[in-house]
Amino acid sequence: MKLLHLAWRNVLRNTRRSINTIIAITVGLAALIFVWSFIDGMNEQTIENNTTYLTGHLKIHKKGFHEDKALYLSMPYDTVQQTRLSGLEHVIAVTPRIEDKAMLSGDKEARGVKVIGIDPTQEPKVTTIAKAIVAGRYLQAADENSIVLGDNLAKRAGLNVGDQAVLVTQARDGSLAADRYNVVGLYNSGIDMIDTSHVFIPLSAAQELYSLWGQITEWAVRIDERQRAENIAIRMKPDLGTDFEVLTWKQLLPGMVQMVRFHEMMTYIIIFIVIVVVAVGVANTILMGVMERTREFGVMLALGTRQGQIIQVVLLESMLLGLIGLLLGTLFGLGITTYYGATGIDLTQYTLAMETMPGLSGHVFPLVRWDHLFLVSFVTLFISILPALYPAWQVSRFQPVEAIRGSVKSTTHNVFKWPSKTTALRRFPFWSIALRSLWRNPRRSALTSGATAFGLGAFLFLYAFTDGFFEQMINNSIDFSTSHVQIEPRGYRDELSPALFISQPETILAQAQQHPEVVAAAPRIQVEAMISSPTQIEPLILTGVDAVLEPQVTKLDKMIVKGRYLQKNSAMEIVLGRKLADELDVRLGEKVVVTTQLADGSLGPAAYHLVGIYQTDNEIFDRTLGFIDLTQAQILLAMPERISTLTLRLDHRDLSQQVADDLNQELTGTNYQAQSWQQIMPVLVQMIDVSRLMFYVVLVIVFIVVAIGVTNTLFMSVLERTREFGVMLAMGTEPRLIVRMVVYEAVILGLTGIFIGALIGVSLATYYGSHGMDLSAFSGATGRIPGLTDVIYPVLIFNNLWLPTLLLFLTGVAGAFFPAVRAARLEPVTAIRYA
Amino acid sequence: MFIVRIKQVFKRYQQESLFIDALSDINLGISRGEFAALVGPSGSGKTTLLNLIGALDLPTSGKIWIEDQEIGRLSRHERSHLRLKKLGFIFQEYNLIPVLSALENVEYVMLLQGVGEAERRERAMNMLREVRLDGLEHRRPSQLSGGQQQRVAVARAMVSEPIIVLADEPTANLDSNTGAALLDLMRNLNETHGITFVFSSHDPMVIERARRVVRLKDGQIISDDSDQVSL
Ligand SMILES: Nc1ncnc2c1ncn2[C@@H]1O[C@H](COP(=O)(O)OP(=O)(O)OP(=O)(O)O)[C@@H](O)[C@H]1O
Ligand SMILES: [Mg+2]
Repeated sequence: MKLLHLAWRNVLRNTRRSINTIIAITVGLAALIFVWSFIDGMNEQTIENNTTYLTGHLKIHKKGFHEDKALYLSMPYDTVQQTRLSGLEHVIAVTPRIEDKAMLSGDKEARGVKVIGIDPTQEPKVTTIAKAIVAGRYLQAADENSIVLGDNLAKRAGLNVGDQAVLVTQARDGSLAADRYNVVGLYNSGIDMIDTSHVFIPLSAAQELYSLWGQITEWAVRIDERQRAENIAIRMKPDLGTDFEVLTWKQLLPGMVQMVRFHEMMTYIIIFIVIVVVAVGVANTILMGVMERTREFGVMLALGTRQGQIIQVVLLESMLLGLIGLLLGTLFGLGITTYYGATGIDLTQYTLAMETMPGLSGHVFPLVRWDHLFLVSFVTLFISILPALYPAWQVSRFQPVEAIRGSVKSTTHNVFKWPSKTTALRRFPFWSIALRSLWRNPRRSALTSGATAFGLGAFLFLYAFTDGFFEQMINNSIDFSTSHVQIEPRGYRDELSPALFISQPETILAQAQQHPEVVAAAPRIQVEAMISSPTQIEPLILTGVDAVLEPQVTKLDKMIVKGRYLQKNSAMEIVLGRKLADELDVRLGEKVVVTTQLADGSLGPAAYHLVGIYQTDNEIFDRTLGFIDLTQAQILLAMPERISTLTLRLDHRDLSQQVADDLNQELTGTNYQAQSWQQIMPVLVQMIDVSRLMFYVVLVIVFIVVAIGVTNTLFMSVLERTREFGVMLAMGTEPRLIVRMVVYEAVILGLTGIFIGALIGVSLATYYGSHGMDLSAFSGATGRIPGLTDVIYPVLIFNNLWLPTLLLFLTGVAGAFFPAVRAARLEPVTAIRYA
Repeated sequence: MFIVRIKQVFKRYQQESLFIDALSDINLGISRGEFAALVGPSGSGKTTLLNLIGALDLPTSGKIWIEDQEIGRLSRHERSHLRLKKLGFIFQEYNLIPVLSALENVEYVMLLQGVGEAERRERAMNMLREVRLDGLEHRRPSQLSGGQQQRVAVARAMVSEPIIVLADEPTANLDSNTGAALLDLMRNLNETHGITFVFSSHDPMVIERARRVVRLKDGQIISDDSDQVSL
């Protein structure tokens, strides 16, 4: 107890040092808690929304259905089974469903959708779309041919409450089936992926459409706690027998689970960086605090204090500081998190980017997870005590006499011998003094520079990594799909409707080619369609391309892995992505049927032979696109000589916006507009913004810690040299010269840290930039992002990096301000008296 | 003609509600070429008086002139400049800038004065030779003995040719032989260079070597005898 008392006194005595340490811990911990809660909130929201709106926690299918999604794998609507399942412990409700694909057409446009046949009275017990109705009403028990759509989908298809929608699909027996439905309600879940692609009809109507009388494809199950899903699935299996399969939400939403894992991995990296930077900062402060009191410990040893007791005092001290920091940091962290947890963090500015993570909307509600809070608190306490161990151990080994004379220090700097016959002093006297002053305590200086170096190195590497990530996304998207600039009819992008077209492509082409930056141009027709094989039906964006011109603009022809690319005027040929071909289970030479809605609203099916399969390793490209010859597309859509898009390749990517703007000037008064890749892919641009935002958060934390570190080091070093400054002042050294000397020390510390940090960051980035970083463990997550593949090549973009680096350096130098002013304000008389 | 004149100087320190009269009614003149000791028991005001003469501190009342400048009228900046140009200091301990070698320490003041590099070096070397430290010029203070360190301090105080060198207990940290040797050296320099020295001390060995002894007690001059002057 007496030792604790002593430790407490020491903490109180060194007010400034204690405050510094506490600030370092507090800021670090609060930042950690907030960042982690933010990501946890984001993940929780994603999972919760996906499971509650649509999926439920568990699904029971006929064995093999999850793999095949084939309607012959349906199962009987067995109410006895339903009752038995509902009776299980932790199960809240069980509802029957039929899920399959179809093409929805309204007034304007046809789209591939997912049809969900539901029991209107039981479904709301499992999922919550019923609560997201924004117009009209939800399905009712008495409904026959009613349909509920997402408002977004309805707008694009030109449908409203009261209108009639047509669903066209392949029935269980393989025949083409179609029916009309009255739109009774529109919903808005806030999740774009659901709103644009899911429609709900009564179970009976679905049974009729798919020829599945008396059958369903799944039971959707809601349980009391999501985490129990695996356990409950295991318990259900024996009850169901071998004919059925039970899938948990994790198996049902593997992409989402991987996305969440990907986010978690990013969080761990960020948290790791912050922890290391904070740890070094705290270690520095504590180390100095102990070392500066060598003499005091010498006296204690001389008075007969046992070594163990000294270690205890030192450890107790840092533990006290750690605990205070822990308390304050937790308080602040929880405060901020709770505040935003209630109000939500408004990221609507980045809605598009947020929605790439299905289930996320514009507001993120940070969520405190107690296990994570406990973990960071523990780690923080640990890192505040750990660095004290070394000096405590060292102090306890001092010979009291040496410690009292203070000669322990001189032995340490004899180890690092500094050439004393240097002539640098003659040319840069004050720089030289600053450098030597730092060298007097090399360990302390190394720690401070080290914290800066680590912070910068990690920052640079992460930044290069994300830049590589985005470069790949941008370049692949441009190369495989969008090209640099597209000219298209106004409003076309939203509707992809064949009713919107460019009627004189030649004039527009000539106009575009006036621009010297345009190196190639290719015409296209694009339309939404359904593609079906004998066993499967899938949505498709069908693109008619000119087989000669298109390869000059995009590079998909280079990615063919089987068969060949289209040839000019090749009739009845189609090229598909690897994933889609697998999904449809078609091989080269086999036939597929593509159904589209024509400009007059009628449906036009056409058959094609698969002549080529390409593979970009990106899920979206490989799964959603199909290419046929332009002339063939014009025939299919009954719009000869017309195109929907003119894609332009420029000699340089950076010119895209400029060229698009210029073209738009020239196109005023027409129905056409030019769009740069940035405008075509706003999601991408926003994702980049979001990640920048995240980086600035990390950067701010690194800044604060570096500033505290440098301030600390210099404060210590100024304090130590009070007498020396007193003598300098007495001899007539001007105070501003003293300020300069201290600032020079910060400059040297900062430059060293920045140099080493940049070296580390740049080397890592360069190494991985040429070797690539394999993210295939997260391929489910990366594949969902357009343009991204599994291997990322970090790119160093100097323009993005010099400013943060400079700011970090300036922050360090600014950290010298207080100590420098303190040194300069010393009164020589008191400074010399200072013991 | 005095180079330092002190007229009716009082110095009062306040510690909480307690007033300490460190100096009361001091009148003193110091002429060029003197070698004077301030002597008195602990707390008698020696350091306080030296600090005032050194323009490190200001009197509570009264006036002090260094040549024709009255220090009470000078700004902080001007006093700093005065110290740089006209005064030399030797303190009891930790006198030297630890990161600089002996030679660099001696050069330091000239560096501040803006003396050119070659001249600076030459004058510093000469001065070190005079204090018999040639050969040790590249050593750091931590590699020098206490006596050697004080000799570097003497060299540094003198090298810029100040009008007066002030030394507060320069020998207090030295054994008496070394202390006496240091004093002999100082006196020697005083005689050969005509530089004025004012120093404080308790040590009879040191006081014995002074040519003028000013005795202080409770902040007052109780005797000022130049009897020991034996020119
Ligand atoms: N900064 C200060 N604040 C308060 N009192 C002071 C201060 N400096 C000196 N004193 C007091 O003024 C008086 C004279 O002190 P001074 O240091 O001049 O004595 P000294 O003769 O140099 O003593 P010593 O031989 O011990 O060095 C003492 O009583 C001292 O306590
Ligand atoms: Mg004294």
